[in-house]
Amino acid sequence: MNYNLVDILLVEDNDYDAELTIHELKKNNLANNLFHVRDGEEALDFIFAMGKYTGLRAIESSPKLILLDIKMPKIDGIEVLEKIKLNAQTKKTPVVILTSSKEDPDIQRCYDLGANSYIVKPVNFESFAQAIMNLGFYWLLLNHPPVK
Amino acid sequence: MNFKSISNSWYKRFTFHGLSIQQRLPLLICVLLSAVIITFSIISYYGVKKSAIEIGKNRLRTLTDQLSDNFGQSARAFNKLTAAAVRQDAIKKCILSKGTESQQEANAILTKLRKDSTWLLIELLDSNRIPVLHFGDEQVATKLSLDTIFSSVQPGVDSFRVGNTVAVKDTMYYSVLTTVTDRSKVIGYLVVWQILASTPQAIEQVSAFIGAGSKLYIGNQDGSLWTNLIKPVAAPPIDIKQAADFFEYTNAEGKKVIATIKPVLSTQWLLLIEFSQSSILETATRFLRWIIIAGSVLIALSIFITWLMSRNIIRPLNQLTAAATAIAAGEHSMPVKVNRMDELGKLTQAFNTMAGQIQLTQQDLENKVQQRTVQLETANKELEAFSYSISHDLRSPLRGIIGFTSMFKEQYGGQLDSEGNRLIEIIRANTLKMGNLIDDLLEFSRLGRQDITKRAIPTDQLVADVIKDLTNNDSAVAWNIHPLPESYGDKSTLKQVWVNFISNAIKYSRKVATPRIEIGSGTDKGYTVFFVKDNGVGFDTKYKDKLFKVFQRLHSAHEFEGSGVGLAIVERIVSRHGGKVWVEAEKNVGATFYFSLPEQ
Repeated sequence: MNYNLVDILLVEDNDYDAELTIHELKKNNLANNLFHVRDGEEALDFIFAMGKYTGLRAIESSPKLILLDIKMPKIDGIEVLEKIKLNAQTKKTPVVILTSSKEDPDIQRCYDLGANSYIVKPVNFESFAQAIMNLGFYWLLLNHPPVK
Repeated sequence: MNFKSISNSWYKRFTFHGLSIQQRLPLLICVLLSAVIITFSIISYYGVKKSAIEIGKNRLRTLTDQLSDNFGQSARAFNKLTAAAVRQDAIKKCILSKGTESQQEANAILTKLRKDSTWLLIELLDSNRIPVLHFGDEQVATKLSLDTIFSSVQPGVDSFRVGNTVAVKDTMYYSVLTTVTDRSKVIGYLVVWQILASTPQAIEQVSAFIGAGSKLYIGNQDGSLWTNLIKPVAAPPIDIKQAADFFEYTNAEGKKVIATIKPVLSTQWLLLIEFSQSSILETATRFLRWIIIAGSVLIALSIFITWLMSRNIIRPLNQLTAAATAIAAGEHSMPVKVNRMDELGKLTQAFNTMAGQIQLTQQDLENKVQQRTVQLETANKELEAFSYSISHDLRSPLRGIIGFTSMFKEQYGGQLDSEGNRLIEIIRANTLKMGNLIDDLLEFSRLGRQDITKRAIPTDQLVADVIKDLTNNDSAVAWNIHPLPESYGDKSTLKQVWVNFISNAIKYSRKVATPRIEIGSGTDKGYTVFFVKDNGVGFDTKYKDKLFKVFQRLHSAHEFEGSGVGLAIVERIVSRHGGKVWVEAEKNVGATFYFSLPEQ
């Protein structure tokens, strides 16, 4: 796999949630260049081409969209978001926060740090599917990223 | 008005209820002191008055005796002169010879005897009282009947007597009779008529002697004439025959006087001295004046001292009151200053101790409250974390179940028979329901903690918006919405209340042929009361208390969907606004839900 061609980076520790997300995106042909990592540490390694991704990709070729879960082991989504938005090379990459609940006390902090959007993962599958689909269409097809 | 209230008002007036202690104490002292001083003054005034009168009377008596003696002595001195004259043979011869013998000698003797012109007339009478010889103013002598002499004087051998005073026009005369005795036989009389006339200087001397305000009078013992030694005067209003030591009367000048009389020896005269009572009582009056002045000064002084003392007492009391008021108002009070060891000092110390104790207790309480607040805040945070974890951790597997069930149906639904598809649908529906339940529960717990910010809300608009959201202006319901007053509260949560009530009304009336919903308001003791009334299925009122509790439902999910959390949420929102929720209902007739909100 060419890591430089990744359109969507999905950072999700829950494999089932990840599978549902990927399933929905796939149904709409949006998951062709999707890459899934399971925790914050790996996400950072991927984004900044560190650790096992050293030399495998260039930082400049950012994904078109990062879907970031907040609650994760090791390094959580907030920290990942912070590092992305503090780095001049990555800060323009759209980051959509995925959260399990609107009760999440960190939502406000996510916006403060520069998250582009956030969605609550609904229990209702249809709603979830709709949300994911809209998300993919918007960020991948409608949104015009800044010229690199 | 009954007796009790009368006695009560009387009691209040008597104890000067309206006055402060600072006013009452001096008043009390003033009253007591005045009573003492007045009593003392009256008693001592009467004592002093009595003794002054006693002293005055003694002086009067002494003076009268003394003056009477003086007059008597003068008379006797006079007598010496006349007695020496009548012993001379020429006089005797002249009388015995009826004036035929020794007339020249007798005349010479009498001329010698006559000292000055006040000796108006000197006569020699024989034993039959026939004039033998006279010398002096004959004109007067003719006017003075000899009878006037003898009517009052009964002369004996070698006797001498001053007779009554008589007045002719303004001039007063008195006679002095000396018997001429020869060989123990009265052979004739020597009568001297003298003018009674005192010079103003002499009167002044007498006045100086007897004292100012006193007067000397001479009168005949038969009361025929009274004189002040200058001219005849009206008789004093006394009965001279009365055997009284002293007489009290009002004299011609209108002054109250005390008087005493005394006969003058060898005369027909009475001597009367008047003392004016005011001069006798002058000491007593002066004493009374002094007592009044001294008493007034004493009362004024004691009122002032009492006022100072009571101020001294009242001031710390006022300070205590101020401090107590401050403490009562919840302020910290500085200790009240104590610089006295008496009861007030002890009270102040006790008060300070109490205030200190209160402050300590308050501090202690505040500390405890702070501790509890910290504990509560911690608990609250834990609860929040718990909610989040429930929300996250419970929802996640549910999402898995429903998501994969859906995926399963998508991919393998075609291979299942209708029963298989139905079962999968049941799994999905139940999982969804559980998700909603969790969401509602979280909402309910969130409302308990969320801050509400109150402001004025146009209720009409809010209700219209809610109805539009719920029905999209498309429902079978016949709406009857009265004008609604502004409400005061948190807009987003109050909207939830209206959403709950109105959606309930729609839900429970949808099986009725012509659903009607009425929305209105009223006021009740500072509260605005809103109601939502429907003509739906209603319920048995005996269950109405259960209605607002979590998970309590009066209808099965089969009949009407719902989690049983909605009204509990409503109840929580309204009570957090300081209002109340209640319901009236009748089975198969309808239900009316009420909620009240404080006006402003």
